[in-house]
Amino acid sequence: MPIDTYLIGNDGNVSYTIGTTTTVQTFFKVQSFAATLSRPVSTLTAFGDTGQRKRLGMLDLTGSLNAVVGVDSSAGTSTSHTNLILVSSQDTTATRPALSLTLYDSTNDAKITSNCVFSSFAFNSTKTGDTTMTVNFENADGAAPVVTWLIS
Amino acid sequence: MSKAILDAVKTRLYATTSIATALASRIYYNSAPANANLPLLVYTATVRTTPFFGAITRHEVEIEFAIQYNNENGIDAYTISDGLATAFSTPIAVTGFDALRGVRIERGVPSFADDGWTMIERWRFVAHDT
Repeated sequence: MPIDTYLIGNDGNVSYTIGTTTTVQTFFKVQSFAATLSRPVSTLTAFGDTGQRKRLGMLDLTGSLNAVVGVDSSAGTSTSHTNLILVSSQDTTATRPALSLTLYDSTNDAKITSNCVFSSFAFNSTKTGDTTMTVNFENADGAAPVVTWLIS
Repeated sequence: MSKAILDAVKTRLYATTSIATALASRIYYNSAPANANLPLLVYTATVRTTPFFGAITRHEVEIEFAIQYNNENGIDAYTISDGLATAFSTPIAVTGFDALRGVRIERGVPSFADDGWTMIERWRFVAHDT
């Protein structure tokens, strides 16, 4: 069947969980994201070839989330909470974010999921404006990102 | 615009003694009644909403306050302006939102027209629905 739905941003969703945290987006709420699925290209051209012989490597996911930062104002402060992803080395599965980038959010989604690391947090706050943050992420698991798509 | 936000702003204005007493509670939304006594305060609001992934929406509310005094007491508009700073110095609880928090983004000066003084200032408020 040909395409019957052309996507807009509002069709999608972004969520992440950290370790055993069941409540998604406990730390920031995402307004927009940019993501790139890529494979490295290896050139294997040899004598005798008349064209460039190339192979693709393993699938990777990199990108950034643009978000507004939040706190739980009724909670206590902590510098070592396991979910304080800002300072975590994210070395283990329990501390590594599982990221879901959904472009079409329905019963059958079109989405990219990946066990990532959040590798940088760029804060931006303006007195008369907002407090926002750009979070860079990249796939960090031994497994490749999983791409689910509605396709016939 | 959420009615809850407007209600919360109105309640905070009336609850601020330095404003309500000086104006004898003549605080109006959008327009004052005909032949209303001075001084008075008229405020109008515009809102822009920004949805986020995860089903929250940011409500960015810009409110313009027009402080109006008679021809003898124009300088007293600053008293009301200071009262607004007092009124909005702490977050305002709004049902269904995290809180409404404001910052002044423009402070005017009294200008004389139509036999009275008017001073306009603008505030920016932000609340996220929960």
